[in-house]
Amino acid sequence: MTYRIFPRIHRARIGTVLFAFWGSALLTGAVLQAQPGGSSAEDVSRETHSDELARVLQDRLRQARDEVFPALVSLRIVTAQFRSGKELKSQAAGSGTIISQHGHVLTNEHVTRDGQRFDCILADKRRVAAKLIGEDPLTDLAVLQIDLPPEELAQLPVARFGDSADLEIGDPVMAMGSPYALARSVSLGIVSNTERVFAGGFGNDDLDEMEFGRGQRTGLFTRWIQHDAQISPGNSGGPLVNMAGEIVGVNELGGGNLSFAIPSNLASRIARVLIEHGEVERSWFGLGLRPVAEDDSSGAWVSAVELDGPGHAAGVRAGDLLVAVDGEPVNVRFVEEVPVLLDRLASLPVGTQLDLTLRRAERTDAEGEREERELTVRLETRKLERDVGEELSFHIWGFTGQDITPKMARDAGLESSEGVVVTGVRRGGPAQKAEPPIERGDILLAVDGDPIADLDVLVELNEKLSTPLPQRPLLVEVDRSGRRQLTVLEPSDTEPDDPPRELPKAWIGVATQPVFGELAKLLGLGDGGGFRVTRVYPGTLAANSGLRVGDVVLSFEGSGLAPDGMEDSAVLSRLIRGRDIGSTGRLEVFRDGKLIPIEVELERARLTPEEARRHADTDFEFSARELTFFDRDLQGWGPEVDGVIVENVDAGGWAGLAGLRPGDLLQSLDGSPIGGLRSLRAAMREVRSARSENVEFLVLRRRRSHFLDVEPDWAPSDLEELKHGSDDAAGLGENER
Amino acid sequence: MSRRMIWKGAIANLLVSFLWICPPAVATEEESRFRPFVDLVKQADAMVTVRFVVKVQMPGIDQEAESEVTCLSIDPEGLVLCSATELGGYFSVMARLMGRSDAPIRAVPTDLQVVVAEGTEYAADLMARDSERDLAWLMLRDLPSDVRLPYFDFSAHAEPEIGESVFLLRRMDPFFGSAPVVSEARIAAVIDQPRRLIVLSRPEGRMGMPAVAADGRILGLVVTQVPGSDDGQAVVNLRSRSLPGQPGPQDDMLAGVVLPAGDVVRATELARQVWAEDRAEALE
Repeated sequence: MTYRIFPRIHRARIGTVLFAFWGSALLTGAVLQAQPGGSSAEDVSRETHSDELARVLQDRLRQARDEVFPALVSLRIVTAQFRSGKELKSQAAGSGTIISQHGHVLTNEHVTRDGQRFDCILADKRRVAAKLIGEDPLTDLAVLQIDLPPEELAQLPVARFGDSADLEIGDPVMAMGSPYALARSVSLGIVSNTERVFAGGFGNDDLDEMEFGRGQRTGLFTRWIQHDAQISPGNSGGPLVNMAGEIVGVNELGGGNLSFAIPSNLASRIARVLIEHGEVERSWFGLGLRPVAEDDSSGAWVSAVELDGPGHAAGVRAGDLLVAVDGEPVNVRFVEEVPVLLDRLASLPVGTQLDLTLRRAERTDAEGEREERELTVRLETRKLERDVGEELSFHIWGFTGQDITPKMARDAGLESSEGVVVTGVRRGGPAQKAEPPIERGDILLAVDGDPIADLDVLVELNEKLSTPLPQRPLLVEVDRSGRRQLTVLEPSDTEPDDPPRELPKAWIGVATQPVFGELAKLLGLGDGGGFRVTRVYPGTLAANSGLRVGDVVLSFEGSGLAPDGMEDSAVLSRLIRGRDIGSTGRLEVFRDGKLIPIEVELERARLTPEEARRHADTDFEFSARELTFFDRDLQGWGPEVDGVIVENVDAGGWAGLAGLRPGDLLQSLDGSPIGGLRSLRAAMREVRSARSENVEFLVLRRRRSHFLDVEPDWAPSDLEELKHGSDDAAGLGENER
Repeated sequence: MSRRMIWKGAIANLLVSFLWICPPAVATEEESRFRPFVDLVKQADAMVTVRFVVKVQMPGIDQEAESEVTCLSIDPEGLVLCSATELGGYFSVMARLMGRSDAPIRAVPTDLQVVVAEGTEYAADLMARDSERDLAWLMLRDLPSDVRLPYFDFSAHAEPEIGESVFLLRRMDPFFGSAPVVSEARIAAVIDQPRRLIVLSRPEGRMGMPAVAADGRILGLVVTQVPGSDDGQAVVNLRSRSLPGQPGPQDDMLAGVVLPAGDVVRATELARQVWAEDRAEALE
């Protein structure tokens, strides 16, 4: 859900809100009646009455709040999304409600989508892990289960569902959730509409058109509850609560004072199915339906027929009027009635045979006379497949691939849903280097002659090829816009490379500024110039040479230095670099009006951060580099300070979850001191082999040390392993859903 | 051997053959005028193709790009010399020219593959680089001990004299079959800042390619010279002086100058030392 409007932050008292929303009539009445002539006794009476009413309402509100609020959870989800042929991890936030004594949490599917790790923050502020039980993208609902022992689950507060069909426009409701990932909160409003659909506003009554995310339809089966209780990013999945303290909706999208919730009657039914089966199986008809246009007509227009669908096979045509299903009359006069019919039909068991009664207008003669006739066809439903296929990163191939669902195949005009569609190609990766290169949108059909029927087959092949990597090219067949093309791809798994070493150069451990023009005159150098020492690096040979800040170097090895401008600022250092390391540099410096000869041994230039070697850890998903002389100088760390500098941290990785940040100096890992990359690698190996349940980092941020820890999950499934361990430096990101 | 390499070879041979088959139509003086062209084309096999992936990291950008450049084999045992700018240093150079010498840019050439003249492809390691002089050295992995590669011998070098002819070797784009091409220029100046460099009358060379005197001795290597990390502010100042349409400092910096062969030899010796140190460290 994308919000464009950022709401103002209110900390209004509930009583004030009551007056604003509920008591407007009372207030209006008070204003109207507080005219000249009213007695003070009546005023007192009215005041007492309204105070009493406010108190009653406040109590009611508090009671309702207390029924659900303790069961409200904040969700923190590590997601893996796929861009530019790579997997990018990020953290997302949402809301949910505990709906069973087994720790089931109801939320939105768009909150859990692409999730790899799920954490729930409970009312008592505990953060506990959860697992995904099931998702239903078509209704945007999902169920998680909190991972706690049964005896602890039994102690958790549970909210109950109300009957959303009882809601009326104007009913007060509370929205609960974690806006902007902030701690749990409540807002108050009224129901604005009980059967909101997002079609029909501008002449388009086709609910198929509404998609929530990449090609994912939503709204086929939902009539949302529109309300004006403020919800923001992070509220998604949180409950909409009535004054009886029952869940009457699941907040899904909104902005400003337009908020939309999935009705609890639909949500509770889907949640039950997800808990029992892990997925929602639906019947598919391959038909689009619209309301009849005329007020006095009955039935539903068949607005679309999928060419390979059950409706087409049964002989239904676009333009037919569906008047009855199994003899039961159909009456869809308004677009709001379409989701109800679609839901009823989709809820039938897959494979159900139905007699559809149709009315069809056909031309009967050459003059164009049309005659309407009624016919009955028998339709057998098929399983409604997912709209969007699963996506994964295939690092050694250098692309991301997605399963092709029947809907994707239909939308793309493909002959079948066989193969894996390439959704992104990593720049410089094996797929891009293939001859000819593999491109985004290609459909992978076969590797070395073996067909790739779907993503599972490719995952299996990927695992087979990963250990060890084949040292040979693979023959890959792809479909590109209907042409079957062959290409040669050589999988590779290159680790991040260290930058090449710069040739060592001579150096004097000082920083300088060129002195010329007016500055030279003001420093007493007349028309001459030189290089003023602005810093003498401690611990260098220069520090022992007698050079001081403020000295102006006038010559080096007998060559006068007379910079003309800032463009000459590197002349001195360049002259030094041209000499041999270990030789002596003779300087003439101007100090306190005198010329002083100084000799400095030229030492090897210190390693810069750019040249420092790196280590990337794929388990904890961070990279670090050697600590350099210049890091110490910049941060004020003395020679006694050791460690490695953290460079990149994947927000969703274990290091990211522990709180490691770029720029941290990692000094110890699980108690082992880190003196450099070698000790870091050794410590990481140890942690990996021990599969430590809790890993502790000690880091230094400027002058402050921090203790960080994380509980890594060492037991990923095969698919998870592919997702986790398969990528290099990843992009960072956080978002609320 | 890839088709591209076959074409390159074929065209090179054709060119050489043509030059050999055509009988001398003019007198000896004419022949001596053409001789440097002919001799240099004969050394075209010492040019190698380097394919690599450059991994670039800078704020907001983390990407990889495949690239291909022409470099020089400089000893028979697999030592290859390239322009550091061509070998992924381009990003840092552009940052420096924009006055952002402090920009945290990392461009690391990886997955280096060297295709030698006869078409064999070898993996290679990046031994070291000298960004200031625009040099980078590669060492071929697994070169069979009985294979001796054609190479340019920088130790037999000439001293530059202003006004003398310089012959520059390069390869054309693969679109033209990577044909070797020799062009002629003259030494226009020998300068000492930022270091000793030979300036050509017509900078027609390609970075990382040799400049050869008429007698066949090497004068140096064509390189780019841009300010270093300690010159960043200087470039900003220079840029502020040039108005749109006026020549700017980058015109000279990117035109290509010749780094004297003696400097190349000294730097190469140092690169060998660094490489030996690194390997010893890796074995520890």
